[in-house]
Amino acid sequence: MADGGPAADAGLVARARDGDVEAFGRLVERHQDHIYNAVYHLVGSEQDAEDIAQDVFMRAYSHLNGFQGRARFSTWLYGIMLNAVRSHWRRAGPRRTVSLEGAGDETRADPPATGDGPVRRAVRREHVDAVRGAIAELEEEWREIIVLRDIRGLSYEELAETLDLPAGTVKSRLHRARAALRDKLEPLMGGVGEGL
Amino acid sequence: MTDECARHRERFSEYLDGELAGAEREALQAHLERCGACQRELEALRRTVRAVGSLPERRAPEGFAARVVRRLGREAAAPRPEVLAVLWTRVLPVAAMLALVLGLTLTVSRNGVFRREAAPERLAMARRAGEELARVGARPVATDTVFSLAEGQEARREPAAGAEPAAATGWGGLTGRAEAMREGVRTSGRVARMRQVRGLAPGTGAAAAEAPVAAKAVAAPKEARLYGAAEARETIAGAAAEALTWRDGEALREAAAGGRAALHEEAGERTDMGLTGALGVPTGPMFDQMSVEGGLARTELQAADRQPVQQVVNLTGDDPARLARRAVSVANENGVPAALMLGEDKAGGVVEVYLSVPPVQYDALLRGLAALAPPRSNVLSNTAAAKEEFFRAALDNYTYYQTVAAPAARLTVEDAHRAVGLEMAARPAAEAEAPAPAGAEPPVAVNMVIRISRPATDQ
Repeated sequence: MADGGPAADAGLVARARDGDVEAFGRLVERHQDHIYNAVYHLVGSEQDAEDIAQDVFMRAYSHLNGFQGRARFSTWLYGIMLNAVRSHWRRAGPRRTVSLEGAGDETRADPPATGDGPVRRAVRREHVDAVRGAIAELEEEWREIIVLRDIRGLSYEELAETLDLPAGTVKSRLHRARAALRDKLEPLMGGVGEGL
Repeated sequence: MTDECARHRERFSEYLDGELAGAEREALQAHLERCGACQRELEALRRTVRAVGSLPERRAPEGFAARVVRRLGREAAAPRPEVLAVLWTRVLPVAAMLALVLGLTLTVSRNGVFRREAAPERLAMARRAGEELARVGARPVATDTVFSLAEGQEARREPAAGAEPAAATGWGGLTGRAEAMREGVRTSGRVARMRQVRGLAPGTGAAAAEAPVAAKAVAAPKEARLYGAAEARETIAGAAAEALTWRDGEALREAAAGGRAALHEEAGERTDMGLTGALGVPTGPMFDQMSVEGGLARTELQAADRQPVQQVVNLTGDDPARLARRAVSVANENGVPAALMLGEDKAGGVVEVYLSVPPVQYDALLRGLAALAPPRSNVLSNTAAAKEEFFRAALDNYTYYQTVAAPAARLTVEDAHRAVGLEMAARPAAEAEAPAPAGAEPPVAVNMVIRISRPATDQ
């Protein structure tokens, strides 16, 4: 969350509703990375991620009056994002496999932590690729909940709201998704996560 | 792994997230202390969660926000948010039926040859149509639906002269414009681009006077498309999903949060009583699904949050196709619009009938159906998934029916017009009975599937 948190969002939303496009631009800047990151992990392509993330903000602008401030603006945006991503999946076909772009772009997009040597960077990249690849292979509804919870850090309550699911379903779906991910990752990497 | 292990492992995820409390947490911890296998399992899950959480963030590309703002500038004609919200949520059930009706028309016109178009573009056009209606002050209680029928290369052309709405006052206008579209297809030879927007101003007076203006505003679209069933499916499913975000979720949460506690309680009590009676308001922020075994459910949409509700009524009979035809007759007798039998003997002798039932016809229809055959089960749901499923299944079945099950028995344009006429006829009664005060929302319909199977398939 950028400076000012939900209160700052509320102020910007109010201005944007009155037609202040610059204020909306500020909102975009505050949330673009969250949304883009989530979309990228859901659809697995930079080009699609940018198109969809743009659509998310366009839709948000058109429906600003639907945001009434009971939820955080970011949570509201995630709801819009899910609709946009699901539309993308529908267009792309029911069982479209996600092709996360190759390791080549990782160097550019994921700057290494300071102090990493070349060997450690290579190992780390391998881990990152494996984890992203495993997420990409998940069923779509499992991918959604993993991205929202374990990448974006939504609370269970926010998950229920965003996914429009009862609390019990959130818990069981999250568990099944994580278990499926564990099944994919454990044989590949053994102590996955420990090297990250 | 013992049953006890399995039971505890189900809660590992919650445990890791600190969402498990009290006795459950203590029991799980006690189990972990004496079960090495579960400890290893928990650690594996913990590593997985940590690995995902450690993924580096992908940041939006440079200049992203500026591009969004530029796009906003280009699409400055974006409709006002509140207009959209009303439009989408009011029109959904009707839109489904319109899609079917238009689908019929187009199939007859073009032998079912349709071309795909990009979904966002369709949605954008539907939005623009709504905006135009709103701009001239019409109350868009009908629907805007943009369909595309393209043949060969796309070309831009103004609508044929016949496109001037024959009847701008609503459903009759739809019929007239459907004719105009067919004309357009025939005369252009290559492509027809027409916009279908129905601006139904109910009743008379000022509202009716607005309608011609609204229709005129959309009579010369710069771009519009006619869509076939497959495309309509996506559009409608997308609209359903959007409606959930814009209205249902917010409105329901609002209702749950304040002021409506009494209504929720009341509905809850009635539900607990076994509910052959009322399902007035969702008993929580959002009810998922409710089975009403052996009984009929009555939806009190007028008093509730006006949520579009999906209902599946299961009937059994020795001759499902015949029973389906009788069900359609019952629907028509009760003035339920556009009752179309869409699937026939599709799988295991199951026949499905799709209806969009206005609240005023709801009770009579269910009584009529019960007289035909007592419902085996009767399930109501109002989730996004249920809505999407309804529209998707309706259109799938329609396509199936047209292409496989009964290719020789295609419904005609006249059938489509008759369906529209039925809907038209049903409306005034609804409005006369409950005149809507200014600004009030019209009731929403129940999207109903009557699923008819042979008794043998019950087992």
